[in-house]
This record gives sequence, structure tokens and C-alpha cells, in this order.
Amino acid sequence: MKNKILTIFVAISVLVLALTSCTGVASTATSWGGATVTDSAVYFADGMQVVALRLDNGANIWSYPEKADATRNFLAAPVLAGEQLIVADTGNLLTSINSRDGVTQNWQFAGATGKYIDTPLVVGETIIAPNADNSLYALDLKGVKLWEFAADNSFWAQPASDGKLVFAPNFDHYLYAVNLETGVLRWKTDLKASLVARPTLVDGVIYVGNIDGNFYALDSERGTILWETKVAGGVWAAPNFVEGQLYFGDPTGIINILNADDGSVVDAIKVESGIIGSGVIVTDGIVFGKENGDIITIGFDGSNLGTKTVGGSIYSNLSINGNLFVVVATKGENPLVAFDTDVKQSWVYTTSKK
Amino acid sequence: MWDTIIIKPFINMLLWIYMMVGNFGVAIILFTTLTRVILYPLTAKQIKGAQAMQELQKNKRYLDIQEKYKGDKEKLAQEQMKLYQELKINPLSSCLPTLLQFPIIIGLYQALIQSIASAPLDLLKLTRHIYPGFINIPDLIPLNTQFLWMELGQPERLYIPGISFGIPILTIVVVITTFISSKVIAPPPQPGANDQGAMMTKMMNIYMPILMGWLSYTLSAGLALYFVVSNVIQILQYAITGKIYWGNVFPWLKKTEINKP
Repeated sequence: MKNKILTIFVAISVLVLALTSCTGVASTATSWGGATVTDSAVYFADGMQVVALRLDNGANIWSYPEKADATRNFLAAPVLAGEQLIVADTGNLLTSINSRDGVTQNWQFAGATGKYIDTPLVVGETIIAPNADNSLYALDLKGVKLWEFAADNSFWAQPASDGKLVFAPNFDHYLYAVNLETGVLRWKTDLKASLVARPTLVDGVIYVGNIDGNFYALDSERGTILWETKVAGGVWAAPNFVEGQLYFGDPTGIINILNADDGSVVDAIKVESGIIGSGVIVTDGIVFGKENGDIITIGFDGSNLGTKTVGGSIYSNLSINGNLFVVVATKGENPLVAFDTDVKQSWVYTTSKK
Repeated sequence: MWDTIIIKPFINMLLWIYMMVGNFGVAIILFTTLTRVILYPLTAKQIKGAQAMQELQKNKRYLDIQEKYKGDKEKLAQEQMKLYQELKINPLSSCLPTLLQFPIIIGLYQALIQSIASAPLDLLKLTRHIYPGFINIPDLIPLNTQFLWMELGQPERLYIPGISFGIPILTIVVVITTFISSKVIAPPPQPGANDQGAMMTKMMNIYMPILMGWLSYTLSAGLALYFVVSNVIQILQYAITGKIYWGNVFPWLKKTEINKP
């Protein structure tokens, strides 16, 4: 009888463990972290904390919060606004901390009711924060809300801006253009499926794709579709624009190269593993992170210039500044690896460096 | 393997129902009912097995064996096994079907969370788990996860004007229905029955509602809705087989039930 009791309790415990391990409360398994390289440091949203790392060797400068808080998951790459570091979390908070010490909190905005999935956009003196509560929040650099724009569904991706309008992709299939100063809607365009990718804005043209693999170029003034192209997989990240061509990967393991003038497919390179985040432009081409934990360099002509193993799974956008770029490896032994623009490994951040 | 056998079919079936009815809460209710109906043969086996074990404990030979070999566990086990074989009783038949349902519950929860897709990795998995041509992604996403006052992807709370905190209504309903369902399916203890067995039943009647309540309080409302529907269907299934003991919860019904054949 005792054995039977034990069996039932063990089974129930396994059930509880299996269920709670899927909630995201105990882990960051429902999303991936992000990092930003600046002139002074690398800021890495590592799930439970944001860490500042030295540019030269990846040593930890500070961690925020000092002790991890289970109610707040930091997944969006932090963004620098002067000396303020803006960090967004899944506990619905947007916080400004001093980028030098990571301790001094300048302000905290608690007006959102949903998660912050992606990094806020800083345009001059304005912070634009997309939130899963269906709103786009505009704050000044003191954390005071300037306006709020509500749509029918979640804003996940970081918007783009030309300094006058903000172009915000939404889950409800629309790309919204709102006035940067007032938050008033200028136009909205139905792009047929949910938008989770950041847009890229070049010379008055917005380039953005949806999760069903439709890729668009739109006129930023009126929101009219200039051209449309279908690619193999959903589009999860902003394309890299280089000399009239757009480079972006998709989850089916293809790097798409499109002609930015008309959307014609220049090349579709099979790379055997999904590509979710944006690449970075380096000396000889563009580096992309692959889901299987490798990074691949593609020449501007579409040639494969080589692969290196980072480990874990790479979902995040790669981040570059000057001659250093970083790769976030989700569930990897080394959660962050830095390379120079010749794609030579500079340093590795391990959790032991904390 | 797990994804192919459990998660993918669950997600596609759940979302197909959602596409048909246009409401995710109703889809969960229908999907739970469907899985419960499919699992009914296991449930029926469980009921039958439990009944057989219950009757065995009143069997004179069983009681004699317990008495005779109470100092020799090995011999007792051997004799019990002989008796099981003779009477064609499988001692695990009441327990195994319950354990077999656990992967279904875990699979259903994962399917729910991925279907709700409130975070990037879940959405990425969801787009990969949908059978091509079966469900059209643009038609499906964004999913409407609002049901009554609940956001099915979040822990449920009802906010009433004038009260500063949210009331976990669904958690309370889960605790009540789990308590009722575990009480009404357990036969009343018979005179001379094993004390340990009665104690275990009593413990489970307390432990399970608390556990399910805690899961409902902390996890998504969609899962709590599943628990409620599942409990109600379980009560109905036992009622259909006639092996239900309302008197365990409503004492004024006890007399008539004990006299049942």
C-alpha cells in the first residue's frame, strides 16, 4: 500500500513539474534574450537579469537587478539613451537605469499591462515602446508618458521611424504609421498576416515581412504597397539593406536576397537550419545566426564564406558596433559570444563570469 | 517523437475546432470533451478495476490471506497474486489508466500554451506545428484568447469594481469540482476495510483539490478551464456507469446509495 501511495505521489509530482516547467515562470524558455553593443559596453538581457559587459574581454561590470527577480524576465535587448539604459521586461515594466553603475534607477514606467517583447526605439528625446497589451507607448527621457496609441492586437516588434512618423508592425496584420509627436494615426496598411518582424526604413521605403512569408515594400508617406514577394518561410526579423539588395533569413533555413527596387528574388540560399534574427554587416558580407547554434557568413554576392559554431540555439538579432558583434546563444553553454568583423572570436561570456 | 505523436495532433485538432467555432474557450471545452470521450474506454476500465479491488477487500479468502500471512510479506504477496490470477483481477487496472492520462494532460497543456502563443518561441513552434494546408496561418493568428472575462493565456482573475484585487473564480471552481469529483467516485469505506486505503483516499481528497487549485491559480486560465470541464465530464462518466456516491458530498443522499445493489 505504501508503494502505491508513493507511486501516485511521484506521478503527481512529475505532472506538476512537467506543467510548471512549461510556464515560463521558472525559465526563459518561451523566448530568447537580446544584446546591444555600444561604444562603452555590451548590454545583455539574459532572462532574469541585464548584465553590462566589458567590450575588450566580456567581464561583468554590473548586473541589474543585483538579485534576480522571478517576476521579471528581461528578453528585449536594452537600449541606450544618453547615459540612460532603457530595459524592458515581461513583468510589464520599462525601467531607466544608469548605464555606468546599473544600480541607480532614473525612473520606471508601469503604465503598460502587457509584456515588452522587443526593444523600445529611441528617436531623439522620445522613447517608443511596443507592448503586448495592444498599445504603443511614447515616453520622454524622464519616463513621462507623452501619448499612447492603441491597436486591435499586440505590438511585439520594435518600430522604425523617420523622425516624423513611427512605423509599427502589429499582430492584427496591420502596419501602422503614427505621428511621432502626437501619436495620431497617419495611415495603416493591411499586410495579410501577423507582423512580428522589425521593419527596415531606407530612403522613404519601408521593408517588412509577415509570419506567412509575404514580404513588402511600402511608401512611408502614404503606406501604399510598392511591391510584394512571397518567400518560403515566415519573416521574423528586419532585412539588412546593402547596395540595393535586402538580405534576410527565414525559419525554413533559407537566406533570401531580394532586389529592393522590385522585390525580385536575387538568390535563395539553403543553409540547413532556420534563421530567425537579423544579420550584421561585416567586412566581407553578412553574418546570420542559425537555430542549430552556428553562425554563417554570406558574401554580398550570395556565396557561402564559412560557418562557425557558437552553440545553443541562435534566435536573436545579432548586434554590432564598430568592429565588434555579439551573438546570443539561447540555452547555450556560452550565452553570449563576441566576434570581430573578420568573424574571429574575440571573447566568450559565460555565466561563471558573473 | 513527443511532438509528432502528442503535441502536433493536439494543436491541430484544438485549432481546427477553434477555426470552426471562432471562440477559444468554447474550443477548449469541446476539445476536452472530445479527448475525454476518446479516453472513456480507459476510464471505464479504471472504474471497473477499482470496483473489483473494492469487492476483493470484502472477499473472505482475501481477508484470510491477510490474516494468515501478516508476518510474512513475501508469502502474502505471492498468495495475493495467486488470488488475483484466480479471480482474473489486475491490481494495476485501476491505477494504470489514470497514469496513462498524464501524458495527455501534459500534452494538452503544452498544446494550449503553444496555441495561445503569447511569446516568440511559442509562436515559432506553433507555426511549425500546424499541418500545412490544414490550417491557414493568416486566418488563425492572432488568436482570440478572450473568453467571458478571462484572458485564456494568463492566470484568471475577476476584477470587481470596489475590490482592489482580482478574485480567482476559476481556481475556486477547480477546487470545488476536483473535490466533488474525487469524493463522489470513492466508495464509502466498508466495515473491516483496510485503514490505510481509507487514509490514502482521504489524503488524496485533500491533496488533489489543493494541487489543482494551485496549478489553476498560477498557470493559464485555459488550463484551469480544461480542469473544470474535465472534472465535470468525469463526474458525468461515473454517473453514467452508476458508480457514483453522491452521499460522500451530500450526506442526506447517503442512505439510499448504501442500499444500492
